[in-house]
Amino acid sequence: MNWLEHTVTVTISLERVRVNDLTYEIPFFGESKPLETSIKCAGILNTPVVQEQSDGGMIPVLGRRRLKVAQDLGWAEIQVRALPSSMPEQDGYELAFWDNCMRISDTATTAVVVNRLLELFSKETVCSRFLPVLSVPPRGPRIERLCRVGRLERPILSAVATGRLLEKTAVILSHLNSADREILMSLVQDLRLNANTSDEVVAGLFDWAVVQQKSIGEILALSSFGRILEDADHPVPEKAARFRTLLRSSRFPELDRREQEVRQWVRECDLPRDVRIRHDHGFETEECTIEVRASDRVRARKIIDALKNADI
Amino acid sequence: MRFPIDEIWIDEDAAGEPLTSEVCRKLTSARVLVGKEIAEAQAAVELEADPLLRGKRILRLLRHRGAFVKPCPGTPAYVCCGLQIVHIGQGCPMDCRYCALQVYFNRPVLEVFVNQDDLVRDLKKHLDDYPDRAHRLCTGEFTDSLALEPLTGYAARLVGLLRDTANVLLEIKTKTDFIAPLLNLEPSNRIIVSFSVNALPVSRSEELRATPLESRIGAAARAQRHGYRVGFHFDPIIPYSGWEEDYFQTVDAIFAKVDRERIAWLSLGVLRFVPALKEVSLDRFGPVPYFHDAFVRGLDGKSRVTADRRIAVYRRLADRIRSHSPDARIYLCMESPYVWRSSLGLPMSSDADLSAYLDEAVS
Repeated sequence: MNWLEHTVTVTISLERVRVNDLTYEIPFFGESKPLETSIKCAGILNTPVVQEQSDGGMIPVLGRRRLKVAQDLGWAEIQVRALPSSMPEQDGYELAFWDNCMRISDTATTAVVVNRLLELFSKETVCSRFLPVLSVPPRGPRIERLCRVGRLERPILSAVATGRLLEKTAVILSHLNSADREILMSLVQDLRLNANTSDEVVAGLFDWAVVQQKSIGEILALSSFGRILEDADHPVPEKAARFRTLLRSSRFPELDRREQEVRQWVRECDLPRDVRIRHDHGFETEECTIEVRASDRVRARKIIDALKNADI
Repeated sequence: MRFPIDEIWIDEDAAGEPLTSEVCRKLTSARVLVGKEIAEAQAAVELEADPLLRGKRILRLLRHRGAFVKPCPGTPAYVCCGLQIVHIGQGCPMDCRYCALQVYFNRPVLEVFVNQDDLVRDLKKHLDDYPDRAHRLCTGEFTDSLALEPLTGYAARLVGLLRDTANVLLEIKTKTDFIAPLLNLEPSNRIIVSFSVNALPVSRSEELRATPLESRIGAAARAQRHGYRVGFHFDPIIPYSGWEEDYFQTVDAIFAKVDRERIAWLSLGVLRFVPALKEVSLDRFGPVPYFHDAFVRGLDGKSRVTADRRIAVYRRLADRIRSHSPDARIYLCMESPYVWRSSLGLPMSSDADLSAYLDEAVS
């Protein structure tokens, strides 16, 4: 049944519309300013669709942002197309889905929508009808992961939608409690980490917290971390670098020790200016790479000849 | 049947195989799906929140169309033992939380290859093609060698086939104690019955539905008394805080029950995994502490604890084993020559070296 054929166009007081009702929400994590400008210039071009409630209120089905902007602009009344309260939630959400499906492209919006679809429809229906439209594989672990992400707090979802957090970071956050999530979000914000470094820090702290069987809050309360975070004398990028270094050396003490040994050994080697030595990554073997920089091919040739003649 | 099977899926071209009839005869309470019904059922399983868990109660009987004998999927970056896998099926009814098979196959159900005659033909051809090579064969790489033995009788058939072949050694590797069918057969030096073992706390909490450790060791002792040689695989070793005492107890328990002279080999392998396994484990079980340990990317792209830590683990465990059996044939699974040298003090620079070392153990 196409419920849009069963609407009644009426002008109502905007006070009747509960714009914060999320029943049919397809979230939008972008700016509302362009819409506001558009409405100021040309008015509302497409009439919003609402559903009547038994108590006389209205909830948005299509055009939530238009309704919100109109409220913010102080409009008293608005023309809407009203759907009867008898319309099932599933049908209303489907309307909202098809109306918005072209703009459900970022992970956060997709996650919220997938989670809501699975609340309303059977998994079979979601996988066969909706996921192909969203380019989400209709099987495999990503569906469950998206659901977890879809249930996260809005600031996290907003960070994912705008590319400040990676999907995999959000998945990790979904395995933490809300207090720890909040702490981590503040941390990545305070240290001004980008998406990749946020992932490194969040994943590292999560791993460490699991191994230590402590909360993120307890880990960050350790004095070594506290000293860096409370340091007001150094610029944020420097603090962030120190924090990441400390986290790495705390998580990988053997690696840190070996790296220090190698650095000390290289210093003792007193290398010529154009020579560098790198140890095998991760110290899986004892191999080293010696890098010699030559100013030109003639000098490079001399170095090669010297190496060939050396008794190594 | 210790591992309950709810459904049997029979591929159309597998319906006429004797093994199919045999399995159906033994699993009378299972629902049988045939041919086209399978695709629908498969789609339903894939929609489950945890398809792997559901798949452990579904047995698919099908014909294997590829090679039945395959080299172990080792990597050139580390020294591989050169084991050859006899591919009898894939998937395992046990549910070890660290199991690599969780990310190895794209089908979640248990699969048994019912074209046994093709397997035998392929195996014979393989052995004929390489008559001068020593063949170490194993059925326990993509599945447990004995978990489905009560249904399939695969191990017993292979033992009967290979027991007297001079250049062949068959390793039957398991986390069960389902050795009864092997005890009805004449033992042979060419057959090694080996057991995956671990520290008791790991075995109890991580090896879901596996036979208790004590029973596995008991089964090893029984197999040995019957005349088989046995092997033990400490893999994966999980180096949690205080791991030594727990693993030492397992070593001690083995040597208290099993004759050291009849142990073919013991392998050691510290936990390593493809990064995707950590994600799958997190999805399925929530945070499992050892997957969050300090792993670095190894030469094969797998997550490994640092070589220094692995060396320390191998050294300690090898010392304990050697305190019971100074000449024990200990080997490392997928490690570098550097780790071999630093932990066991053995020069093991290539796959060929390790193959020779193991072949020597059973010659």
